[in-house]
Amino acid sequence: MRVASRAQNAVRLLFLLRDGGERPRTPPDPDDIARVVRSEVRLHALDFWLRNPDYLADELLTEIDAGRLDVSYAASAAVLLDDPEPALRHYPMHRWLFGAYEPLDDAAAILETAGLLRIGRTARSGRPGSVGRTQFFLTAKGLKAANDLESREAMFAWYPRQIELVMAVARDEPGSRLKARQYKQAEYAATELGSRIAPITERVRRRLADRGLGLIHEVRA
Amino acid sequence: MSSFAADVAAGLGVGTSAEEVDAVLALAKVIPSGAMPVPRRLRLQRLTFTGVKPPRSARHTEVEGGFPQVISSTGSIDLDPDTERGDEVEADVDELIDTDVGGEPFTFVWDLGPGLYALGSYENFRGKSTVLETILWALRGRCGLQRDVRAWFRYVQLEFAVESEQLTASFDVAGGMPSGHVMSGGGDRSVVLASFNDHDSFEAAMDEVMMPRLELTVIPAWQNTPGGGDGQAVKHAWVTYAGALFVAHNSLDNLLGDTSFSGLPGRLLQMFVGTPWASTMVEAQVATKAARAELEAVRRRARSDAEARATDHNSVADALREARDRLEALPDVSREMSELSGVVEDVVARSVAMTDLQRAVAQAARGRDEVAASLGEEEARRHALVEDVLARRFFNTFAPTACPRCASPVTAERYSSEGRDHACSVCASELDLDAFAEELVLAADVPSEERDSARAGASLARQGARDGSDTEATQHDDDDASEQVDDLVALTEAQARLDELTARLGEEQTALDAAAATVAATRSGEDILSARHSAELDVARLEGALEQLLRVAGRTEDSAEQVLARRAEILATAEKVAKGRVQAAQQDLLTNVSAHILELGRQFGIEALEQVKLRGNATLEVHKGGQKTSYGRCTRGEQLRLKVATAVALLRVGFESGVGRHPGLLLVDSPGAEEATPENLDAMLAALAQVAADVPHLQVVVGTRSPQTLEALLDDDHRRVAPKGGYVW
Repeated sequence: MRVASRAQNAVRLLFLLRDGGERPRTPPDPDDIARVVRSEVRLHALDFWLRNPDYLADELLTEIDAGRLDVSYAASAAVLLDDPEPALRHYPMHRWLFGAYEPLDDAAAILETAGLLRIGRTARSGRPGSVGRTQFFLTAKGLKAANDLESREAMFAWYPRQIELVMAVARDEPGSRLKARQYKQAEYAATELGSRIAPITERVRRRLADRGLGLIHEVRA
Repeated sequence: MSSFAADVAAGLGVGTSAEEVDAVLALAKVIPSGAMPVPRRLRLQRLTFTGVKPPRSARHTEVEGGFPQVISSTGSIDLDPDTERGDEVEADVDELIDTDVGGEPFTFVWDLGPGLYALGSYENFRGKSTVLETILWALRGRCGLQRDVRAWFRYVQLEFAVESEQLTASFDVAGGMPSGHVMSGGGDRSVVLASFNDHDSFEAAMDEVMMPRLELTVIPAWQNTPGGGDGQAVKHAWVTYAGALFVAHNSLDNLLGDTSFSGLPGRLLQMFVGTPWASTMVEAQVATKAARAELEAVRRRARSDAEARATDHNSVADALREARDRLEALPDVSREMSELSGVVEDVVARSVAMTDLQRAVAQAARGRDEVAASLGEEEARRHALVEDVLARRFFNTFAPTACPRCASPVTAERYSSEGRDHACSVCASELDLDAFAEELVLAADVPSEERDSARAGASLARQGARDGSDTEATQHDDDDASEQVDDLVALTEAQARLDELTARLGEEQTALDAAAATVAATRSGEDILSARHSAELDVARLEGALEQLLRVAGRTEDSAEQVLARRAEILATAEKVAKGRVQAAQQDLLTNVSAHILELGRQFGIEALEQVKLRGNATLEVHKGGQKTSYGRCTRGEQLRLKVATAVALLRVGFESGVGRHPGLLLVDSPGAEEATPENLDAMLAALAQVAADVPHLQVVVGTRSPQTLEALLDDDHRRVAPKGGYVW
């Protein structure tokens, strides 16, 4: 299994914060903050769909079927499966299904050191010393850095485009809801394939084929 | 060779020999004979019969009117007119026999000789006709008596002579049924010629005895079968001749005899007048009819055969055409068949090759996939390396503000000294100089793998930035690049190999399909071959059948039918020639007989008779009172007298010329008073007496109601007359 480097993780985190974060409310949010992701679970959930294009395509079709997304996203789902570029950035993270999330600490440290990220940890009420919720603040410098990176290196332009699809699926739902949806996807895969770690590319292809391959112009009745 | 045959041959024209005619005539038993027949004399000598009359009250009354009712040719019963209209008592034969005890036995014996004999009574129904019928019964074996009267009889004996031979027919009668025998010779030397015990055998016995003795020939006649069959020859022999010896009021329809059948009167005439060639003509006539009938039968058979053959021919020809069409429609597959084994081997070989090829294609595809996968993996690895190095450089550009661990501030001086002192501005670790040269901040104690990866990434990034130009490529770059090129080449090669194998697989599949199709076609070719074989056999068989049919048809046509047609033609000509001779010989005789008939007819009281003309077919043209008429149109009284006149005329002419077959016996039963005046009857009796006196050997027996005349004409021996109110017997 390919493993992304710390720097790559940092780039992904930077863009996720910029495009997946909400605008801060000051106060209570600190000054000099451009975006904020208010839970680590949501950040992990967004990261999962970003790193697993087959699950993202699958969820796009589910959202189309549920009437929450326009059918034009079916074409995007098809592209996700067949374009070589997502394959290059396919860094599966199955372990989270069985144990802890892959820690973002190293990646976050790179961004923190450079003054692009600030992590805010709030104590859980009634239980002194324990971490209640971790919030990820993208600084104004971080926002500028992300914008610079996107425009300077074409290679990284892929991240914002892909996150746009992730956000179409995730919207502003809280991390726990997104995690529940992803478990559901994994259970379908397990039912069909007998293995939770299997890619679901073929299943998505069948779903696409069922509605006519590459239904770019399909109009929902 | 006979002159008759020569005449027939001449009549048929060129190409017919007298020998052929003779052969045909002999085959048909037509005897060309112009011999004049010589008469053989028959003479009655003594009639005896006995019986029992039932009591008057028990007699069957079946007489009505003034005439006896007759059930057969000549039978008549004389019964008391007073009683005939009495009680209608039904009595059958058995009853009559049972009445023997109470009945009245009778015996009648009458000696006869040449000349005229007569039976007379003042009234009708006094037994005259019974005596005449009994004579005829004993003479020809057929009984014309009424059934109940016949039952009265117990015994009958007739002694007679043919020329010098003494013959006796004697028989018992029981219940009307005769049984007895015919004997030749008299006294102790008598020989039984024939025996009989019923009517049929009696008739046959008399025929057997009389025909040869009177030298009569059978009278062949052709009787057409009712309903239009081929007909058959029938014989009318002695019973027919004998019928012509009796003239009675109930047999007046024909001028001669009592049988109107198939021109028989004409033949009797020819026989009695002794016309030469008459028998030949009659034989030829009958033979012609027989031959024509046979010919017609053969032709009909031939027609139906021909029709059957035509049907056969048509059906065979149809079947032959069908078989030929069938054969025509079937392709000749013998060549394909001979190549079948090669094709089958080809299919097997190709199937094996296909399996190998499919395995090779699958292998090539796996190889291609492996190469592609490894290439993709390599690309992803390079991508990751580049992305990593670019990301590192990007983040390196940011001056650290604080240690992420302990938050100790990183001063600007510490940051700027990194390039000079090669120490991390955060943790003061020694920096990798090579990496630093690539604008990468990397500690020297970082595991070499990471440092190598970073450098490789930097190299790849630089390479990408140069847009493929490798002029400044390092050795590492070259290795890396050539490795990638090798992979690409390997992929191209693998793909090419796969493409080639796939193409070959396609070709091989096409070839295999073609071979398999050939095999399948050839398999059906086996059926075709079998069908061809069957069709060829059918054609050969049907051709043979057709040929045979044509041969049979030809052979039949020129055989039986032509022979028969020829035979019928010859016989018809023979009949014509014979008829011509008969007519030539007959003409004078007929003219002579006609003259006698005219004379006798006038003597018999037909005074208005002016002229008669007897024809060869035994019809009589009669001219009287200025009118021309025929025998059939005369009154019954005239018919009787003309018939007797004709019989007597024939006897006279026959005796005068010494030819003819008439036996010289004539039985005449006179009519009742209403049929002719007593004067006429007297005249006829007188004329008969004169004829009998004139013609030696002639014997005439007459029944009459003019007893007074008899007394004047005949002595007691020659007459039997019943007293007034009494009976003859």
